Amino acid sequence: MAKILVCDDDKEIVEAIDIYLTQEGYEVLKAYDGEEALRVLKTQKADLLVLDVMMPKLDGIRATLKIREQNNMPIIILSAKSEDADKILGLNVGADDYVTKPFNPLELVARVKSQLRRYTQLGSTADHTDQEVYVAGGLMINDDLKEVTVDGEPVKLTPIEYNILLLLVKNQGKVFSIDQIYENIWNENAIGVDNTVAVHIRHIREKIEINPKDPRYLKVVWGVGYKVEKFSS
Amino acid sequence: MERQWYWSRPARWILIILEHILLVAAAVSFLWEMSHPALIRELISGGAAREYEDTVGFRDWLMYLNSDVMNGIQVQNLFESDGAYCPDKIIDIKEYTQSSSQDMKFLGENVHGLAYRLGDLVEWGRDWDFTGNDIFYNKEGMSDKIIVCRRSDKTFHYYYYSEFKNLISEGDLRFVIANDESGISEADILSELQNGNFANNSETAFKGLQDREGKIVYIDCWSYDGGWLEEKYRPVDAESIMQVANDNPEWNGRLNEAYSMLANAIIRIGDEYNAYEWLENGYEEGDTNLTYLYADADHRRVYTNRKEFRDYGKLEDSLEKIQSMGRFAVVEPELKDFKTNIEGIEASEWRDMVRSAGMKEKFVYAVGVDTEYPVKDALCSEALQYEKYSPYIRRVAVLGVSSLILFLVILICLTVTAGRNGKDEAVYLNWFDKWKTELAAVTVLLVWAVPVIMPGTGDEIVRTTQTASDLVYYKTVDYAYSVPSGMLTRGGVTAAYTCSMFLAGYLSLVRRVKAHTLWKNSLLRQGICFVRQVFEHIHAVWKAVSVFTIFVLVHWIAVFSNRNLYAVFLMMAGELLIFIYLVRLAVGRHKIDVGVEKIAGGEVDYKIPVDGMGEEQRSIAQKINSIGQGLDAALEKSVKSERLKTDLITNVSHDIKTPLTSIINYVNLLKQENFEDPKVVRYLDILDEKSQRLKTLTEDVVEASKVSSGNITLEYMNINLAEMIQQTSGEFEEKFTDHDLTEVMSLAEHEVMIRADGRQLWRVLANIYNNAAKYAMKGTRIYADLYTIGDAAVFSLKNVSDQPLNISADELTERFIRGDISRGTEGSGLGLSIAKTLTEMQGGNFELYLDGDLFRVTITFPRIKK
Repeated sequence: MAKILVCDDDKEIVEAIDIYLTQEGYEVLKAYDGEEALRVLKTQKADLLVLDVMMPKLDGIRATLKIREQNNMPIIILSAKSEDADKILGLNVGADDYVTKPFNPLELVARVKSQLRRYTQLGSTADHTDQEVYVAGGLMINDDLKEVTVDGEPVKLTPIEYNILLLLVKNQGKVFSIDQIYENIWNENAIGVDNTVAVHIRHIREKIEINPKDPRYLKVVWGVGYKVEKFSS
Repeated sequence: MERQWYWSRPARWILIILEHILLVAAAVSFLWEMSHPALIRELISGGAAREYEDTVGFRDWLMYLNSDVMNGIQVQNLFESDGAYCPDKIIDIKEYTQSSSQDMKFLGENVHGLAYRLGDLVEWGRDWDFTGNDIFYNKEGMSDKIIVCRRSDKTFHYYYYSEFKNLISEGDLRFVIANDESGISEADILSELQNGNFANNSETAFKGLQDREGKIVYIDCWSYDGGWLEEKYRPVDAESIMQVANDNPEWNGRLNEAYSMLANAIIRIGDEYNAYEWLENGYEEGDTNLTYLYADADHRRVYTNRKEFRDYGKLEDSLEKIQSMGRFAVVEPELKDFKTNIEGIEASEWRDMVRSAGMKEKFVYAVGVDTEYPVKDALCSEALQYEKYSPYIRRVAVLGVSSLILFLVILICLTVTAGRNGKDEAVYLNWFDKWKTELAAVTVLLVWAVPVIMPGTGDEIVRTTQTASDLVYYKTVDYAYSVPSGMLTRGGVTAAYTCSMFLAGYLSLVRRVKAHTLWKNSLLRQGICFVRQVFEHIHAVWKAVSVFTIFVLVHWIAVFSNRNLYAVFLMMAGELLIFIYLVRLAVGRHKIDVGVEKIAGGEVDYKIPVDGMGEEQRSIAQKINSIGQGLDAALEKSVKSERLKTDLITNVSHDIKTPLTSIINYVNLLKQENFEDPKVVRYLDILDEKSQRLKTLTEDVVEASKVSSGNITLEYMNINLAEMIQQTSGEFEEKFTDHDLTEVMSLAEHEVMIRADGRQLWRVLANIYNNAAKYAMKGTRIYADLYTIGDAAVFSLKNVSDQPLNISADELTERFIRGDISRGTEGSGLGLSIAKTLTEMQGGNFELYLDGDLFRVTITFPRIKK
């Protein structure tokens, strides 16, 4: 089973995370500051790191930088700092995900799972060369099988939801307005007075995103439309 | 630095004494030179004649004497009969004034009716001063006014008023008054005539004057307005000039002309008599070493001051004799006949001199000077002097000039050292230098001027200098030179005294300039400062009044002084000053205007440039600047404190979040345990709910403080508000369904484009929708409307409140004020406040409307044109 290093100066938080992850069957290593985390990583191999930012001795950002010098395992930053600037900084120095405190333990577990899946199944997409497959980061649509997977986990979508997602994934990075989506999927002129498309989009998000309010794939461009973020492969 | 010798005090005193000596030397040399005109002229002309007769001085003397002689000879004919002065000769005035003295044809005859005895005219002229015309026109002296009467045949008769009055009062003459209503009476006319004011143009006043028999004698009469002079002498064959003008047809009606001619004749004869007398008395044989001879070939007459040459027949012998004299010149009309042994004067110069004196075409003029100088005249004394002093002249001149140069050199040296001691840069002032500048100047001038100009010893000194200058021009034939005894001494003393006074004043001035106290320590500056101070301390209104008063006063003076040049100039200068002042004032006011506008417009760190402003405006501008500065500081302080507050709240929230994380996590863990007791389950639910609420609250508080401190950056983009509302509605669909609410959307068919930050606008709408979801009564409908009014996009969300709203709309958006304590428990109460602030930040308008249970939010944004 995968080993996860949890590093936070608050012992109770480490304890709680330990309980949740152990319940999921992961083996948990613990550290209480950045230096300790580095020490643990020298002696033991970890598959994933959950790291707090504000810690004594060595903070999470510096620790991430040091770890990234020789290790490419997934790092999830867990911080009370919720500003955009903080998130951008964390992701820029090499973290793979950013979760703000207070967090939903289930969400954290889901993110851990997702990161691990992506990390361990890296390169597995190469199998589907003959089939019509669309990929956006961890999101993959196999149009032949009409199958959608997020980080390898299959997701069940209604036909309309599937078509909407397919349209957006096919045109990654392009913003579609509600009217455009409506016209594309229903093949009718948009009447444009109800929230049908928006509701579908929300449902898709709830299915494919870990935190639908902070989506990674299907993003809302407010007042303009929706798009699927273009991921560089 | 080693101190140079000239910095020492004794050396300076020695230099000062040297200055005195040098100036005295220069002055004495100058005076000495000046008192020897012959020498100085020779020096200036640059020659160095060995004999006096070859000097410029001699030549000038000779030419000068020649012109005297010429003037005399010219008029000799007029005054002499048979070789002697003849005072009884009759001079016809008209003839005399109209021709030159030599050309008078009718000498000794009364040709034109007005003539005087020569002696009378000469006497008359002697009494007369040079301003003859003034006396001629001086009618003040004419106590008895003259009246002109005109006969019908255009002849005239002059009366004195007294004479005329007698005729009227005895009835020999009578005015014929034309019209009694004209208001003029005989008495009026007489009084006007008496005053000499009755003008010629009042013919209409009367028709004429009739005699005893009633015959019209004169058709008109008026006051004589011509010249007049007191008749001291009677004309030949007449009682008075008036008689001549009345009786002689040639002079009739020409009284003014007669007077004028007479006056001219008197003045001229005076001059000519002087010339005649001068020749007769000054150049007589035995009085002068000069011999002259003028032969008039036309009249075969010889004018000379030697008896032996008088015979025209022996002219050749006489000329021979003159040519044997030490120096001579013989001039004839033809230049080739000119003979002389005097160097330096050209033949034509001689001839022109004779001709210009009005001599005839055929003449011989000869001059000779006996260089043995048997007679002690001016030539003799100059010759002796030249012989005696000519060797010294150059040396004295060199002495004088070099003394003067040395004087200036030392003066420069003293100027440089004045006030310094050579050791440091300081300027040392003595007690005198501390006097007020003007006071010191006046003192020095007075101390110098009192002995020099005031009577007493000074008087002598001045006279000495005057005499020295007189010497150059004073040229009487019999003047014998002698250097005035003591003149040089007195000149020297004056020079020394002047020098000491000059040095005292000048060096003090230099020291003042060096110490920069010339102006600083002056009474004028003190006065100006005083006036300025007074001016500064009086009220602005009085200032304006006084400036205006002075301005107007200057104009009045200019107007009433009859365009006096100075007053007009002063007026112009005043106007120019006022113009400059007004322009400066306007420029200053503009600057202040701009400054106030900028500061009022929020640019509180703007500074009004105060350069070139008047005192008053400068202080206003500075005050405004300091107000701006205060505002700036206050603003900065408030921004800073707002930032601090945000930072504090953010940091506190971080610290709250960490324990909160544990609470939430462990509550969750507890909930996973299987508790049988429903009470424990309920308590856990409460803990869960409250911890979630605490989480929302912490997030909202940070949000609200960031928004209200403006600590948020907006990224504007074009947004379709209709799309935005559809999206929002989609997001809240589930939540509404959960709360048993139905949303009724009524959106504009077309795109409604506004300019805003999409993410922030989402927060606004999310807050509003959240609010509606939380507080709307279950089972009711929520109305979302989007419409456009003109250029505005309006979105409103209406719902029916679950609880009664006993609160005002304003209070709802106030931070931490909630519509009702019991309205749900999810929110922080900050939602609407944040929404309102964010809307306004993006240039929109946020409005709450409460009517009973009806709750409406209206957001208005300006639309952008596509």
